[in-house]
Amino acid sequence: MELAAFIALALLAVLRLPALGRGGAGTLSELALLAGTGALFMVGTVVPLPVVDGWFGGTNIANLFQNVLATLAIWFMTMTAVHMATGSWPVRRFRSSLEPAVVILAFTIPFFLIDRGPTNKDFVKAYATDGWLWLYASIYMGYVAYLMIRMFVALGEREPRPYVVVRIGAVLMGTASIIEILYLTGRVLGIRPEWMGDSFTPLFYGGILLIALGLAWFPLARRARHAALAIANAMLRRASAAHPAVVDATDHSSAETIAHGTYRLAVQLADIGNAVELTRAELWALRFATHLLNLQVPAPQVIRMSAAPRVVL
Amino acid sequence: MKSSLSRSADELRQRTTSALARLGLVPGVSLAGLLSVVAEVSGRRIEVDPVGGREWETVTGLVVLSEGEARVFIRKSDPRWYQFHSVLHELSHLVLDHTGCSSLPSGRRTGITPRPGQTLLARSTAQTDFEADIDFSDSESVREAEAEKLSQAIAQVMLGPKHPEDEAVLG
Repeated sequence: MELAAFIALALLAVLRLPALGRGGAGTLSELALLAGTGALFMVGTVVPLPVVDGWFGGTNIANLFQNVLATLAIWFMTMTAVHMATGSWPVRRFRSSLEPAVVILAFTIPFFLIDRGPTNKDFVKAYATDGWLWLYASIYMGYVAYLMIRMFVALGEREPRPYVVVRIGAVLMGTASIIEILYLTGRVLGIRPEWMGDSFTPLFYGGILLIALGLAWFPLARRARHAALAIANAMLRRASAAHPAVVDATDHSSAETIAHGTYRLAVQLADIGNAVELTRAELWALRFATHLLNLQVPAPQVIRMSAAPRVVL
Repeated sequence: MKSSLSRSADELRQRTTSALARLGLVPGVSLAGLLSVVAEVSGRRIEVDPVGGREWETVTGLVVLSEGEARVFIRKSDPRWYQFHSVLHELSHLVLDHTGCSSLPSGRRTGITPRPGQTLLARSTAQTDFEADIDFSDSESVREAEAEKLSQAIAQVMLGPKHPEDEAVLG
């Protein structure tokens, strides 16, 4: 599960690397992906955990780094959602930026007070009876749950359907965080609710996967649409070469203009096809374009509608 | 009211640009949204119906105009994206305040006969090149070129990504 989440985040981060220079929510979301990928790397998904932890002295400090990076990733993601929902940064920008720093400091202090031994894959479970670990993990998990609620609420104001997947992911991660706090509280009190401890990983990483999938829909859909329209555009241009009357738009190659460039060529070729018989290649080009353009036009399946001007009283 | 028509390519461009600005369309607007805007701008009740059969050989769409009302007819047999364009073309006539004729030119048959007080405007299958090849002494040719040019400009706004803001941020 961790490896799948790492691959999903790493691919998405690389695919969207140019977004880093865009500013605003574009940069925030890319920083979230990079920090998230870093956090999953610290779990030992790519390089074995003893090796990663060995770089920092082999006393489970990788666990702290993992939580610091995860906190930053989730905070960047939440700020992206807030930025997109409101169109701007939260009003108290400085205080908002200070918030994760304060939280990180708050859980780092108890971390260094834990009587830590050598690298342990199950560090949290192994030291769960330690009160400092409870404080360390509870602050981190409590903040994650809080951010997930903020993300869930902020994305509720956005219309695109992929955000439903992102919001389900936020619910899973928030639930996992609360369950982990309850589990650790139980352990400190001498109870061993192992079913709770075991449910953390699938819920938490399943949530990360869903959030990554929902967000990946936008760049993937954009690229797939552009590629398909570019093929249709090239086919139509080649097919239209025999008709000097067809006027090709000069700018039809960018993601923003390719749909209209293709549409315009298709209209002209279809008009010609209404007057004279088209060749087989022209018909193929038009058929392929028809499949794509039917998906692009913002119109109902059956175009039958009416509208009236508002009556001014 | 008889509308004036463009007398040169420059005038045609300016006329369609200002007509598009008057509509105030936002990227990603739906056809239903456009219809409401055009109804408001033209002050007419508009109905769009897919009709037509074999008799619609040489016409891809037409609009029947009467006092306070416009009925747009498109060919039922056309693919959706082409019907969409036919509607945009006919709505463009309304935005540009074009006046129609009491009958279609010879050679264009649709089976739709205007009643007294109604006029017609039709988009023919042999559409002239609306960018360069326009005979400005032929009022019908200019009217069709204006409507085609405006409909393409409207399509450019409408055919952008469905969620431009989200794609710009996350895409």
